Amino acid sequence: MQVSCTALLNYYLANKLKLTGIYMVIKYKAFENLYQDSVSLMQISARLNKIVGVDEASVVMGTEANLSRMADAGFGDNIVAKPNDLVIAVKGEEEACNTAIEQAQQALTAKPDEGSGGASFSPPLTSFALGLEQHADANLALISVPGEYAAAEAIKALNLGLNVMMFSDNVSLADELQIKQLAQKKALMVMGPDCGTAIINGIPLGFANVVRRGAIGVVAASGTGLQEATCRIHQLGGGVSQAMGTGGHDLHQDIGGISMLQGLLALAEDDATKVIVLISKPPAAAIAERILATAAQVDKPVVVHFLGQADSQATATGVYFAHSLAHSAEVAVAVLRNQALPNAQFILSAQVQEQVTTLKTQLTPTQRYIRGVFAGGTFCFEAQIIASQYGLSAFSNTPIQGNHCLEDVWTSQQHTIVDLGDDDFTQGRPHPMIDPSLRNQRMLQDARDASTAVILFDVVLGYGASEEPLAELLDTLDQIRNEQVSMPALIAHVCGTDLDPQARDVIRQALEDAGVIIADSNADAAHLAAYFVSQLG
Amino acid sequence: MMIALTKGYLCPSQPFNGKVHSVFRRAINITTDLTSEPWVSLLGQALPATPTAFQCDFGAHGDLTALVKAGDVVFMRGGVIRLPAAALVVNTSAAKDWPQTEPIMLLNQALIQRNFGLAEAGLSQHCVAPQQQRIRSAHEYIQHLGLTTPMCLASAPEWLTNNIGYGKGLTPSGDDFLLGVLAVLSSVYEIYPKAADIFQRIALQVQQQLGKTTDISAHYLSLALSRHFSQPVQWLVYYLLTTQDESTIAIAMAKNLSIGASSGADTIAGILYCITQLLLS
Repeated sequence: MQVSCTALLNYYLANKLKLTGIYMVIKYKAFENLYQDSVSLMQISARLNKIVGVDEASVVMGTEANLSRMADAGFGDNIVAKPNDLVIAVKGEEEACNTAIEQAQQALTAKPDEGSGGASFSPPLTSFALGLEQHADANLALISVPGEYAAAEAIKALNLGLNVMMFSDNVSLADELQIKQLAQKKALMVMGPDCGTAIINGIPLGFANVVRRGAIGVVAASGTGLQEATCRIHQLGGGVSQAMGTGGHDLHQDIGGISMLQGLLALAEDDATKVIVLISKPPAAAIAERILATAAQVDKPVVVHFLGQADSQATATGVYFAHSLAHSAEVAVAVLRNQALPNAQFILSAQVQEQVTTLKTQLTPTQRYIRGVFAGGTFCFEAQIIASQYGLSAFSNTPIQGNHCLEDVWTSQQHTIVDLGDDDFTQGRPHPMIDPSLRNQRMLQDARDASTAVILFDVVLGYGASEEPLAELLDTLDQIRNEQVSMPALIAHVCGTDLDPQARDVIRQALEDAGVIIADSNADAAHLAAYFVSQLG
Repeated sequence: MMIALTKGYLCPSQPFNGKVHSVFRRAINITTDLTSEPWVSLLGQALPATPTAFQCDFGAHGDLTALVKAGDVVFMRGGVIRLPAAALVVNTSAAKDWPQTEPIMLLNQALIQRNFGLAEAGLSQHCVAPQQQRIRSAHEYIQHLGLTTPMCLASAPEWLTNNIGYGKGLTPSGDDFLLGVLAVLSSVYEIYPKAADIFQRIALQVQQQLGKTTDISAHYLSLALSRHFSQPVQWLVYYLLTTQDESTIAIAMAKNLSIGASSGADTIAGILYCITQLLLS
């Protein structure tokens, strides 16, 4: 780079201003015929303006109009430059101005490989274009802005050739369709809107768990569904190649399962993926049919679990139907290892059977109902499905078909299974995975209800989830124990892995010590709760 | 050897000798010895296609400023551009032309009014003033840039050329704004005599003042005087004046807003200013 300094004037204001004992000076430097892109100029300007002691910095091309403007802004009228010269001018304390000029010169003359080295220059990234300037190899944009702005941001990202993960929710179906169709045209993937979980190339994004890498790829239209499946794969000794969320509306009739199909086909082409798992809440019938038809054509085994739509056995086309979130992981691991498919039937161990018998004797005749308190929306959904298999009709804020809406979401009635992560409960509050206070309060409230026989709950670990999930929970359990003569049974499931920051084993042990029966999966916990209640007569 | 993916409709196909004028991370500007095509650019794919640019995938080459210097020799023979000092070779023979807009034959004021609203909302959403106060209109954005505009464009269009060379960026904001104005005038030039008159009056002044701005900006202003504009600008103006589809506007806006640090927004401000003055007043 030919940078010649045509003028380096330490131009002190004609009458050095003495303000509160500090001399204000103006310094500038003009770089002849130096061209920098606008983004770089903006970054340098932002950096210089942050230096303590710099009152104002200007980084512009030396056009007549700009020199005139700088004079008006108090930079003096002695700056000499031509239109193709880059002018750096600073006002402020002398030492700060010297530093600023020096830093600007370094930034402008640094070789590209020096730019990312020791210099502390890290300008804020305020657009995808800026991000790409600094990380040209980036190929995924994570969008987490209020829903009304999310669609525009997604379109910007796609137009820059980026795949998109939209954490944002409250995006209309029309916008979601437009975004996904644009992505389809560009052969890019959109995860979301309302996609809270993904594991891409081993990196957990959003609410996600730390799992080992392996040969099972997951595509899920369910955040906690994806977490449960990936954690269970890890617990069984397997590993995950990629885990992609699609957002809960992807399998809606209007969206057509665009992202799930893209994810399925991407995993089909991925050499590292040997078995594919697809998970969703009940999809539109036509969409389910389309996805299953595509899955049947994929040259790899595909395990499918559409909650509430479990079909029977493995099919000849290489599509296997699982019966629960955890079961989908168990089937995938078995298929990968060429083992017999695991039975989906719930098996009560002798130890738990004994616990159940003991707990039954401690209840009063009025204690008859399940009170499910969930942070994970899909866990709430799955628990309702399993309870219904025991003939238990429940109330919920998110009822499955055949169940009923709660008259008041804040008060349980008969069998009640609530999703505390739903909008009903999160307006103005953090999600219960982040702050479990609301879950703990609801547990206490239900324990005080003389008709509660079982409190069923989940504890979700991983990145994004509460770092101290036990802190208040153990206090709540103590309080329940101290208040209640006939304490309801406490049954829980901990969704996480031993590699998660919160350490699943430690959490499980602490809860067991506090008298909670811990199941291996959400499905097992729900089976156990439903079985327990069905035994009460 | 790299393959150029697209080429602008003013790119040279005949042999030339030249030298590198300026180099950026993902772009090289070249001055040639051709009188008909004195300027040609090699741009990364993420940068907007222009009438005088070849778009290439520079991904494997990292930061071009590490490879190429201003003044380096360049030549093209047989459709292949070579920069010997950097061992950079670009084959342009398979590059595709990017699509240009059709001439606009009819204007629907109600439609333009609606599309103007969409674009202005998009601009407002994109721009935040230094004090973190949201810019609510194109007019506020123009004020924020410190540009001077006549109360009535038709009566004193030359006034706009006072902004040449004014503002931040390699292509100063005033120049980008003027490009937006010229793009609208150009798009309705044939069907709206008043636009043609304003265009010619501005052009006369701009021609005399090109020396007041940077070479690169002067190049784009020169192209504009010949009614040539970059692909995103061409299509945004076209859509604002013709399309019924809101999402098309949103996508065209997003493409323009992603240009440079603020160049895209500055050009959009010029487009909206001109639409207001010419077609909605």
